[in-house]
Amino acid sequence: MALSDVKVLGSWPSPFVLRPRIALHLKSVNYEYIEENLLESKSELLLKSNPVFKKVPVLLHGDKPICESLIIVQYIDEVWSSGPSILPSDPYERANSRFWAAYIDEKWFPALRGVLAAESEDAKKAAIAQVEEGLVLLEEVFGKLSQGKPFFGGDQIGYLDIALGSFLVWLKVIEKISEMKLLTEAKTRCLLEWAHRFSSHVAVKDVMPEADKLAEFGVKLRAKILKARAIPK
Amino acid sequence: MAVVKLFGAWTSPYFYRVIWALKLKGIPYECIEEDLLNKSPLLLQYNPVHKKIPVLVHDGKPICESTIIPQYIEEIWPQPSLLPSDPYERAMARFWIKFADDKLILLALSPSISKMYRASGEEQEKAVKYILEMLETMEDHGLIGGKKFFGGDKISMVDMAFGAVAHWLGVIEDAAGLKIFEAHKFPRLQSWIQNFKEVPIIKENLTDRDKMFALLKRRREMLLASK
Repeated sequence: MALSDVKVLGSWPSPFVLRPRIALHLKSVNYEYIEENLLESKSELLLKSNPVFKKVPVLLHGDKPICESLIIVQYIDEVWSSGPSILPSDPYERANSRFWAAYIDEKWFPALRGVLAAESEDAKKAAIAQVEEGLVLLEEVFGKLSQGKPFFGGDQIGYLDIALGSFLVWLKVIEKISEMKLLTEAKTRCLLEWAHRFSSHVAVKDVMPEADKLAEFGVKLRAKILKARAIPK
Repeated sequence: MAVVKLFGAWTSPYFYRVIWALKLKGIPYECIEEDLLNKSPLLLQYNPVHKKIPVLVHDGKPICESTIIPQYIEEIWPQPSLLPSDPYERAMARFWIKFADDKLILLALSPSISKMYRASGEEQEKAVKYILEMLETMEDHGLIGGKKFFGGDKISMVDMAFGAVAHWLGVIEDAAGLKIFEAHKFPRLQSWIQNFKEVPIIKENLTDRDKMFALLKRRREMLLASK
């Protein structure tokens, strides 16, 4: 049956690609993973499936493409409704989860990327400060939402766990570049512990990239970004 | 005592997205107008992270972000529905809402943002190019198949997310002395704009064009004079 065909078009370094993969694992849905090379030109399949943004991840369900990582996660949650819920069931809590996921993507992630792409020491320091500030805020959010349970989503991995958790290996790479710990015992103890739990979760551990491999990729990506800006490295 | 309060600003298309959702669903609410240059302590308390409008307060609980608020409203008051029930159609709707949100930031009228009427020369040219690309994508990908609205025959959250294009863009063009949207180049979009503005709730709830034009013109003159 065509509709049971599930594919994920992705790229191993992309934190956004981890999101639908983790969601599908949580729902025990089998899928085919198709790798796209981010440093080379885009495939026909990608351009056809996501003509507007031309980005990964794309979920292909039968012949229907679904784009944008968090939209895909919500789609997965709604279609495979018999599996564990990813979004909370209460509308206010859902709004809250969506709010913080949007914060992570629109405010925090650009700061993280800003460290990688920083052209000067000052720019790097400023970006690092923003990343740290964001993590302190998210530590507070974790306290409020988890209510003593292991995840943002409570007993189970939820929407916000996936939204933030997908950046954990990149965070390690950024820590390496910054030469400092950004998740610390002192300021973000709960998040630090949550990070270990999340990364070792059965639905997560097999898809997280290796930190060393990602760090190597990070160097190439930085070079590509700076070249595009035509600034000497 | 009103159960639903909405903090907003009369110039903001993001504010209107929520007004339209509430009115289409017949939900009574109390409106609190904010001076964006002098935000109230209450607003800052309800939205400490972004300090922006719109903010919906339902039974004392704040909900922020103009894409998140309508989804909350839809979940609490499902009828009449403003999002498709089919998961795939819903994912498509969310996709276009996100697209609208990402691209329309240039039409936001908050003092710190709009490059269209604030800038001139190269900066303005870039903003214009960006808007044109957005309009082309809407025309070529969003409105194919001769649909009346983005979601088909009925108005939905997607149309409301693009509300800025239907009304605010024209005022900004006039204030900045630009012509970006040419109807003959965007026939589907032109049709959509007419369909959208004919919906009674929309027609009755659009920001005062003349008032906004006067405000933008004043601001633009001040900005260009200070450079």
